[in-house]
Amino acid sequence: MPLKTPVIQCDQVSFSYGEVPILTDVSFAIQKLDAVAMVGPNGGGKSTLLKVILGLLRPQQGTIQVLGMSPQQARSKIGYMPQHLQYDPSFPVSALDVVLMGRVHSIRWGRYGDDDRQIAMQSMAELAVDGLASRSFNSLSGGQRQRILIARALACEPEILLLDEPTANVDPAVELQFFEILKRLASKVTVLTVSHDLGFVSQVVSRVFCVNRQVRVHPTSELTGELIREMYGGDIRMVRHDHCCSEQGHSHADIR
Amino acid sequence: MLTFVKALIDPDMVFLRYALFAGLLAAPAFGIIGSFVVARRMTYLAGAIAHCVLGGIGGALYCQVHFGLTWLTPMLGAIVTAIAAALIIGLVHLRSRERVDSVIGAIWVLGMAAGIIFIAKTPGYIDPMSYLFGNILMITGHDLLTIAVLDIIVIGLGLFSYNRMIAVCFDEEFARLRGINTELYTLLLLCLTALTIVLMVRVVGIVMVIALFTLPAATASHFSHRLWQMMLGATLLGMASVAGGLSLSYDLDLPSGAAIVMLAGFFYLLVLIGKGVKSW
Repeated sequence: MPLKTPVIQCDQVSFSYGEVPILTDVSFAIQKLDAVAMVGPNGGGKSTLLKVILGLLRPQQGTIQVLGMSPQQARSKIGYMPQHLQYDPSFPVSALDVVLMGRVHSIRWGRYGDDDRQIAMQSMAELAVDGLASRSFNSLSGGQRQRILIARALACEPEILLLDEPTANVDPAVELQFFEILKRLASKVTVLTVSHDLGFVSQVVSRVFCVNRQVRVHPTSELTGELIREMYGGDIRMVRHDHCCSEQGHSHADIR
Repeated sequence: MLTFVKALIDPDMVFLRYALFAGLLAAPAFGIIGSFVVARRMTYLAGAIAHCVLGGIGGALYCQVHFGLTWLTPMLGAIVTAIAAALIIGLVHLRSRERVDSVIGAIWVLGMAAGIIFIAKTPGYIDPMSYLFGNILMITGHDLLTIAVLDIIVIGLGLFSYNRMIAVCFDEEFARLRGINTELYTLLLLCLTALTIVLMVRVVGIVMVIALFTLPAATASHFSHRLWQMMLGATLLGMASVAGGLSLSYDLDLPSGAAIVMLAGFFYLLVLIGKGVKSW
């Protein structure tokens, strides 16, 4: 066991919706400034695991601690970027309005303070979208909107960033920029990102969690086609991203 | 138009002045709360609350006659019922796991049915039509005072909670994760909706009051990039609809509530056509 308390400590967590088991016996630990990606098939439990970490779902078995606290208590220290924003596309807000929502907890007497505005603008500058502050959120492109939502998560001044599919709906050129942004963020906060794109994340993160009912942890150096086939279960064809796969095969390293 | 202005200063036409004041006073509340309701897509819940109000009005009239509770005015009955309906509908909306729309539809109709039964069982001639579709002849100076007080409460709370309410309406899950009690804010919004509905029941009636919520806000949303712009636009459109509608109803001898709502609908149609022509 490491001496420092992990940022996220998950012990034998199981969760099921009614009779359907989604996560069984999940254990892992994430240390400070770790950069971790969660991958796995649709319905494999990635979103459920995120919701357990956020305290939106309570596991039926096992314990989870975030920053040494219960997930509900630690919520304010987490910056979260959801994959699907269930918002009304005609909702009239500016990009800055959206980023300011990351400061909604610090509203006093119904108003944001000057420091809140400053933090929001800094977060936008971090993602190079400060020029869009006064633009209408609906008029932005998919990639710009995605960055605004990451800026909103960053405006929470989080110790942990949870990004759910940050590269969904983003074209490849923009994806490259995301890669740089994510790298920079990972040097300041603990980043946990969900992604369907292994080739993308394996360049940024140090460890990959394969979530498919169970969670297996792999250092990124271990990723191979065979392993990926096993994770996704069944016969899939994979385009080799040769920057990340090693030829030595793999072993399921025990993380604890 | 000119005859309408003359009528407004005619001392015998005090009801017309009252109706105009009531409408102009209510417009900001409708603009502010209506914009939240439209953006949050809660028009259906607002409709249910509005129709439940008839139960309160009927109940108050019944109690006045049968139990001699003269202090229990239809206005008071409407306020109490509207708040109660808002809380019940809100809790059903938040807590019920299944068939939320059926439950809310049932509350909608039951509130109205209770009102019709109460009114039928109250002796003396009471026309339910005047509550359903509004009757400006019924507005008293006392009503105007109540409207002003409710208006101040609604506008004050609406503006005070503006920033948090935007966050809750835009992305409820995120607001909850930031430690905002989103259920409380949803209930607050429904209660403010309830009070706003009561403001205009006299003028346009409970059936058409929803139109004043949705039409000005929807019209304003077409040229607003920020929520406050939508609220301001909706307020001005609401005022124009009330003043123009009353004027039309006086000049052409039309039912005033219907004329106001028709004008609000006309503005909306105009914007839609304008948009269509522009993109074509």
